[in-house]
Amino acid sequence: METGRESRKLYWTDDELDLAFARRVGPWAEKLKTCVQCGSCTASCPTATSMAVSPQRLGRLIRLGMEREVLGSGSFWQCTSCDACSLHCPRGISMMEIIVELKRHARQQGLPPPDEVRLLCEAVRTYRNISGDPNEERLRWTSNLPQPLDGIDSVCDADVLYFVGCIASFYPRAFGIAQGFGRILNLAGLRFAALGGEEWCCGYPLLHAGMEDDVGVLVEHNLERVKDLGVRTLVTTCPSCFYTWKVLYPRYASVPAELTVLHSSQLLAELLEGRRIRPGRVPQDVTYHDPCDLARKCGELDAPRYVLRELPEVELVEMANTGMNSLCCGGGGDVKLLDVDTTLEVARRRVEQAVDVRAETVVTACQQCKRALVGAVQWMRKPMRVVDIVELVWLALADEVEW
Amino acid sequence: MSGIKEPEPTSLGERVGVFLCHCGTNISGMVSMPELSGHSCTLEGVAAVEESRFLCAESGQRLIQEQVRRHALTRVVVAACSPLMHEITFCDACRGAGLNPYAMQMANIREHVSWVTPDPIEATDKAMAMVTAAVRRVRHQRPLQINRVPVTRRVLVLGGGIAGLEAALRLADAGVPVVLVEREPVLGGHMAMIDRTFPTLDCSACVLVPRTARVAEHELITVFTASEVEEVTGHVGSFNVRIRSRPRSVDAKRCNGCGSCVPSCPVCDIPSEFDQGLGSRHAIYFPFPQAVPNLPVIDRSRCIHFQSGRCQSCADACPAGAVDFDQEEEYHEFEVGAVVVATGFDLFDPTRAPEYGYGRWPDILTSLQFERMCHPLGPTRGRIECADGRLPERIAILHCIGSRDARFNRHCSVVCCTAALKFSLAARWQTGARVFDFYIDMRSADKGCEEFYQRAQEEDVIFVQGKGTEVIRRHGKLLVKAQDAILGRRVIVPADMVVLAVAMEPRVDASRVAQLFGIGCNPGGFFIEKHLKLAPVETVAPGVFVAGACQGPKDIPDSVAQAGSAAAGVLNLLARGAVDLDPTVATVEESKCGGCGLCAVDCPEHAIELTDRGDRTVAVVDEVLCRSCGSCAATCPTGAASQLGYTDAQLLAEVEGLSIREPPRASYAGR
Repeated sequence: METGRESRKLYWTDDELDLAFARRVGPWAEKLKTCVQCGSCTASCPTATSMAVSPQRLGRLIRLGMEREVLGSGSFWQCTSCDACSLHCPRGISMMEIIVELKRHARQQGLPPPDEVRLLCEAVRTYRNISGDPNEERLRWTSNLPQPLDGIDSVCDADVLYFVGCIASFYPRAFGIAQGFGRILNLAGLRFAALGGEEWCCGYPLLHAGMEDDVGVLVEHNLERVKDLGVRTLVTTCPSCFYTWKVLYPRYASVPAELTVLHSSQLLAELLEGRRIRPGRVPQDVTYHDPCDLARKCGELDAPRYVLRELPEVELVEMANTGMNSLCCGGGGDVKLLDVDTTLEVARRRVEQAVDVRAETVVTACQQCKRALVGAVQWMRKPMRVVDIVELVWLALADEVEW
Repeated sequence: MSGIKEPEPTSLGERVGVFLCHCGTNISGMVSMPELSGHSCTLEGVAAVEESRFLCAESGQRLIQEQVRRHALTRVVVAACSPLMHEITFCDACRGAGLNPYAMQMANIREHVSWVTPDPIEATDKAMAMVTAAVRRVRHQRPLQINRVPVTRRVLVLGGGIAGLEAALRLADAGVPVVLVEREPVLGGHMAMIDRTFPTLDCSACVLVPRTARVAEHELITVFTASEVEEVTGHVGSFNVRIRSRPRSVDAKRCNGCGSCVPSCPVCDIPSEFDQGLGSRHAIYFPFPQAVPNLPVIDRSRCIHFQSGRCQSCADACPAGAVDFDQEEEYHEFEVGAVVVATGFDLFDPTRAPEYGYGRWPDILTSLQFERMCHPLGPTRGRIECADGRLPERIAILHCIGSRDARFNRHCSVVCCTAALKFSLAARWQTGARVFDFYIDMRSADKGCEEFYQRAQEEDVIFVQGKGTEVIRRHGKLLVKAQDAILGRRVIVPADMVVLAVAMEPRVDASRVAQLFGIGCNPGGFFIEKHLKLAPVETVAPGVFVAGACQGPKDIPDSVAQAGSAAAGVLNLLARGAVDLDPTVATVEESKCGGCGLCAVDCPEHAIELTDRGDRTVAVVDEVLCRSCGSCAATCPTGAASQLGYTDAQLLAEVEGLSIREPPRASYAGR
């Protein structure tokens, strides 16, 4: 990367300007012409401090069309895609969207992504999942359950399709979320199905890495399976899968109008409201960490809070940053893959906020947030639990589960 | 604390009531009110001392009136805020209790003490001294008779720009005769030079010309163009103004505005003032095509006839015989009840900032020059072009030239940011040139102006946050240097044309006009209003109002709004029909007067004349003309001249009171 030399540049002049560059990058980048240089994007960006070129400066360089410098900086790989920038931008510009456009543009210009991202995306393209495991083993997380889940391999006559997602399928730290969710569905008497080896990655890793050209096959496949099943409800425990299904899929394909996409927290809220599950006591002071993909990007703030309020003797306290103005966990985008120190530092700031409000447990609704925050808790040596909301609900339902 | 003792009989025999205001905690937070109250009780002649949390409130005023009656007070001292704030309130309270308002004296223990003295001990000492001074002074004060005079139903409006036109129309439409005086030979001011007005981009002339025409035709408005006010005497309700009209050398009664004279004039290379030097005009000329009044004028400094007498082409060409080389300047005198000063602004001359190369290299323009260039009737018929006729490919617009710059003007000129946006849009639309806009802060704040900014951004104007610092020329190209604040890098861009958004400044002769009407100028040189927020068009001179950019930089909507406000102020005065004159005028005690006449010489209003009293000559003051400046009292060698309300006895008593120092105390322990 040429960052070092480029950032020492002393001046710019007319010859370097390329006002068509922003348009080539994409429609969001073109909006940068109305940027008022207020710096809100940089100020709100959780990872700006580890960027060689801050979002504000990046925007300025894009506006002026300094393409070589923009693409050379590589700072856009530090974006966690938390989208705090667009929440704060007074002109309604989303740097997150611009960064996705930029990654796509870089790829079109033949610039390879960082090796870690390249390998991840190759795994998705080759194995249909991010871990590079054989995709038929997607139900690995069910193998050590005391009793098999009803309906997990039957694929007909289901009320709900549970789209498990790559992380809960293959990463043991997240198995508990999928297991808990499956058992809750059983307990509530909901007929559900999972696709097993026919579930392919939702495509978000590719979309976020600017590889939207490769995502079509995944979208097509997943939509076909849903249509084959004829389910009307698809539920995910992963808020990124949720965001992708709910917001991004309609941009790339025609999603059946009758398909309702739910996040696990929304389904849990429905089950609690309908008294289909009756949780027991799990006394503790909790705080709720809004996952960016669920809250800021899909606007779901109420369902998880409703669930927490319905749990007997669970006291919810809000952190300084909450709801739409939630703070990123640091684990979004590919940052954890590329720069684990940055993830740790961002997650540390979030855990500090939980410590400030004397929470015993940080509840989130995302396996990736959980992974990032647990890492920080471990690093900070704080007595703090981090759980997914599904895990907490399952705990309140099943007395025999060990904590 | 209440009135605690009977006053000792004194030689002055006045019974003084002292009223101390806490002003919430504004005063009592710094000044020890118990100490001040105790001290006040000890002062000679004091018959009552009262405290109040808010003396200006109705309850406070009632307190004053009750105490005046109960203790048969003859004099009142109010120790509170600045008299500028509440003197009238307390005068009225006294009047309500049957006292002459001039029997009241204020001690300003807020602005002059509690707000500015950081130490409670010092503050209390100072407050005591000021109350002492006020008590001593008030015992020498005498009731003064307030003269009520009728208001003449005619108004002088000074300035024929948008503010003056608006004020004149508002007044005349309300049935008030107006005398409108404009220095230039034509009405319209700067607005007549503007092509389009931001942020709506509607045509300036379309708005203005109907107004100038209506002013010219209005039966209640008498317009004097090419004229100036030379002399003002009198006072609110009855000012006498003397107007000097320069000769046009064209007989307005005969001229029909056909324009035959202009092309006949052999002198044609005079830089046009109206086109800001970009175009040229003849020695006989119309300032601009839609000029009101539609009369040509001869520039005598350049006309061959006035140099050598050898040319009379225009007179020969005129079918109406209207050219009059012998026309002389004329004087007109009017009595008016009020004045609206709307003299406008001057533009900063960028040669004062030589780093911008203005006047040294071509294609560096001021904002008004660029404005003229954009105007369809301007020197280039609306074509934005370089001096050599090329279309510019790169245009740089530099904000804040002469504004917000300690070397020239500290103020912000308010309109230039949005005007620069307008220029950038005009340049983008007409030429497609790349436009760079160098700004410090984008201050485009008025209604619709932020949206206007966004529009310019969407039109691909390149905004650079960083002041254009200099313009240099290399290899025949202008280069603009600046710093891009976001990237932290120098910017050096070539430009075919540079537009300098120059400052709005006070008129060069603003201080002379201020003196003429007895109003003030702020440090920046603009006329100062009586109160920035609550009396924005009034001035310290009763009956004199200000409107438009002469009071401070402002755009057209604000100028019009202020003109309307000034007109309302005048109408208010006229509706009352009569005004009270300040009775603190000069007076001469004839028995002491030696008739030396020094006072008459010093009087700026010529209000003093020497009169023969048979055996001797004495000075006599015309109270109506006197403006209470006090020059005569200061200059009189025998002490015969004095100013009522400011007599030597009163001032000496006050100074005495201030200078008595109590022994300093170490602390207020136990307070």
